Amino acid sequence: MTTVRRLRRSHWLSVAPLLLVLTGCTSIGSIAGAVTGAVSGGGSANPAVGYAVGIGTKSAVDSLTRYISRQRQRAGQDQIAAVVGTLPVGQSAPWQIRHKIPIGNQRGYLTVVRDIPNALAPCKEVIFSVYTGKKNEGPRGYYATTACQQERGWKWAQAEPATPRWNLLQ
Amino acid sequence: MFRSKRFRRRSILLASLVITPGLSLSGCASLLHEGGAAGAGVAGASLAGAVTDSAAVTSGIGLGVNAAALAAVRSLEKRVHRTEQESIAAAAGPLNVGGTAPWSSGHLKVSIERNEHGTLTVSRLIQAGDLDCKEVIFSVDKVVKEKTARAFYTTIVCRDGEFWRWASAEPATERWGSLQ
Repeated sequence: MTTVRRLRRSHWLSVAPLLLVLTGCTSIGSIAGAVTGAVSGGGSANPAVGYAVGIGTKSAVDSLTRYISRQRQRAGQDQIAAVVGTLPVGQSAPWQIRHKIPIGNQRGYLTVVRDIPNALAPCKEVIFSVYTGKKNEGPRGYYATTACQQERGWKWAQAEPATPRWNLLQ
Repeated sequence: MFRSKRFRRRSILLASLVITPGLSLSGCASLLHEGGAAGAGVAGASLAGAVTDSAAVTSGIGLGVNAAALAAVRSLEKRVHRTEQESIAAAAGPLNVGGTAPWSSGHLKVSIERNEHGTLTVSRLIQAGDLDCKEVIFSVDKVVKEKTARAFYTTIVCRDGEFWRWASAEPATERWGSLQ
């Protein structure tokens, strides 16, 4: 009996990381919610308590995951914007982002293609290329964006898409 | 018997411990999504539970209601945010290159989105055939420690009949990252 239990436990332990890999980061909240919901549901006779605990946990873990991903994305945007600030129109320079946790490091080249003369702030239009980790590979893509100078340096300035184009983004 | 009662009490205490940091940590949007959907899900499931004995049917109905409520919350967010985009586009519409105008998002006093305001200017006209578009730089002004902090953003607006509308398309899917 105990061997069977042990076997079952080890089986689950080996499956759990696979589940995480398969589902990707965005599902961590749901998994945490389901686990805590099930645990507290087991402790309390009332299924609504289990449900509420699960939802509370899911919401907390979801927003934490989003917060961390946004911080990482912002770090990449800040690197690009900082390089843009130093360049005149027509010039190119390399950029790179190295995260503290070395996942999703990226690098590439950027070119300032236009000054955006306006009454509010110095702004520039930029085209950048993105290479991922592997050597001897061409760029994964070219992208265009804008950056403006704020009090604390140059920042990414591209605003959000129009709401009718949000669809799956939300 | 005594033990199981104590265990129950403990688990309720544990539950409240888990919920409290959950509530304080999570942003408004996340809680709105989960809260709205969960409330509807619980209500839907208990209503179904009263009618049918099958747990699977009950939770299935709960999940269905949950998904519908989440879609409703998202549609509300989209509608509220469209108001802000339309007020920026409307303020930019009559301007020529170099002209500036104030804008404000014009939400109701109680809204799921913060009211924002700032200044905007037109930096370029993009015209071809029937197309009539403008590149707009707008600021979002906030007061931080009694000083105005301004963040600047760029967008494109286009004329659609008599209205001006936000025209920036979504980022390339490769750049969505955690947007979804």
